Amino acid sequence: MAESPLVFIVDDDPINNFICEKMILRAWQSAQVSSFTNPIQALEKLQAVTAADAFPSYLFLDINMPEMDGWEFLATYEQIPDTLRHGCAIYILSSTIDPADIDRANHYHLVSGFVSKPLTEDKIAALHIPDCA
Amino acid sequence: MKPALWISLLYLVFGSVWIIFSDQLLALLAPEQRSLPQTLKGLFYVVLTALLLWGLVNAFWRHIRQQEAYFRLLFAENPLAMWVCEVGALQIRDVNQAACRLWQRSPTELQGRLWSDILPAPQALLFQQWRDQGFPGEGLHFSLNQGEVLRHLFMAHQPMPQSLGRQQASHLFIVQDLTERVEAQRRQDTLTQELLAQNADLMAFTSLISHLLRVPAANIEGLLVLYGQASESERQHIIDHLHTSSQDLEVAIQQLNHIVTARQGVQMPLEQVDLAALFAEVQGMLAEPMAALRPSIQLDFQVPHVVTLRASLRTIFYQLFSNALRFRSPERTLSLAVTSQSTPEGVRLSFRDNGLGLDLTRYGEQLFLPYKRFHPLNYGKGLGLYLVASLCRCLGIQLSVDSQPDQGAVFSLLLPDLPIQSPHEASPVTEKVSE
Repeated sequence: MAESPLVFIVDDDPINNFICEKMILRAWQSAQVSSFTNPIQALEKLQAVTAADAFPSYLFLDINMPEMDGWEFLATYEQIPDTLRHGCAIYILSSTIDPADIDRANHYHLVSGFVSKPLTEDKIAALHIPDCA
Repeated sequence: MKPALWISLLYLVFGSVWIIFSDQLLALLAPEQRSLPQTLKGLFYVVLTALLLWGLVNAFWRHIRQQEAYFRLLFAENPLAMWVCEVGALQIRDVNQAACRLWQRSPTELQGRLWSDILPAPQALLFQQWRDQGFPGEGLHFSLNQGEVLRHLFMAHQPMPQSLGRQQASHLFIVQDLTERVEAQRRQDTLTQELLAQNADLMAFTSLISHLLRVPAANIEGLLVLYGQASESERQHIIDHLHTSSQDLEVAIQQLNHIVTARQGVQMPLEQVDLAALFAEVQGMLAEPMAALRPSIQLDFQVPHVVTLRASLRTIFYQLFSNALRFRSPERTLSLAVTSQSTPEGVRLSFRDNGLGLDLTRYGEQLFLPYKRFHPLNYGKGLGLYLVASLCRCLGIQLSVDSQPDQGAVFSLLLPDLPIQSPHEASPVTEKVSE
């Protein structure tokens, strides 16, 4: 894992983002956390990155968001060149109990896994650590 | 004269003549062969066989008559409408009782008439086309208005060749009334659609529960975990967030209760609701934002009262009013106009605001789905319009929206005319309406 992993949280719920930031900083003290309540702003930020080492290592993505849901986000995210995003592990972070959503997350080729809210230190510790560029 | 008698008499005459003249001819040709006993024997034979013939024909004719009476009964008393027409102009020759009931005419009014004179114009044209094609297929489906009833009918055709008892060929038409079957199929299709819609609603509702309840519950869980190791300054933040999440949970439970109650079609009596008083009550519930925003409100209740479930209509008023306040335009003072008008279909309630409006070309199909929001404002759970639509569906109210971005919105509710019910007459209003 990078010394100071860059972590993006994309969720319209500011309370969840607060929880995620605190939990991530407890698990990875040197992490840099950016949270976005608007997925479109998050995409614009990602699309503006020009170097792979400036791309986040982790992205926690909610499913149910206004304007754009998690799946629509991923469809647009996939258009970012793979050379930039290949080191980023995306986790769907959701409160959904819909088996279809959970299954879709576990089998989506861009998604590394499904994490049920709330994000905790134990769940962070169990995350797959991607190979960094 | 009965056929058996004249057939046997004819045979007797011709047979006797033959015997007598044949014997005379034989006597001329061979006088020595002339014999009176021979002639008498021949005549006796003819008489015997004439009697036998009479008996056989009589029996056979009686059997034919019985068959004729039997088939006549089948025709006359058949529950299917039947009539016989002559070839060519299709002049009606014979009708049964069911046909008289179907066409609502007496036998004398139908017999002798041309078939084309009986059918109304649209059906007559359809029938003519069928006839010109030579009566193809198994028959002809058509509909007929009889008073307030629309009958669905199926007409079959059977050619009847000329035969004994019928001087010429004719056409037999049989009509089956499929109205009950069509109505039953329609009811079944409606029920199937309702079940499919309810199933889809149930799936959406499951998703709704997971989000509405689990989101605040998950937040509370996460905040409590953080609280244990939080600094003093962080703890206050956490407590504030716990406050918000518990309120979200409370609101979520209330909204779910509304939705569940509306979907079950609660057994409550319909009552006459004073619209002005109801709106004033909702304004009181929103007193705080009203005082802050000071919107301009115009009320025009040309129809002052409606018959419906008061609590549900209050929730609808509240949601629409609340949405108008929430999604006001920052560029102008909020203006809200609420009117009621009488129409042939019922009472039309309109909520018009001058707020942010909606992009119906983009969101039109999602407008009344749960957890859908249409503005980049992080506020609410996207359930207000879903709740309004659910309640309208259960109250038999037709809901429609007209809006454009930044042009405000007009929510229109068409309330059916319903009778006031006493408590013991209370029944759920669960008529499905389109949205």
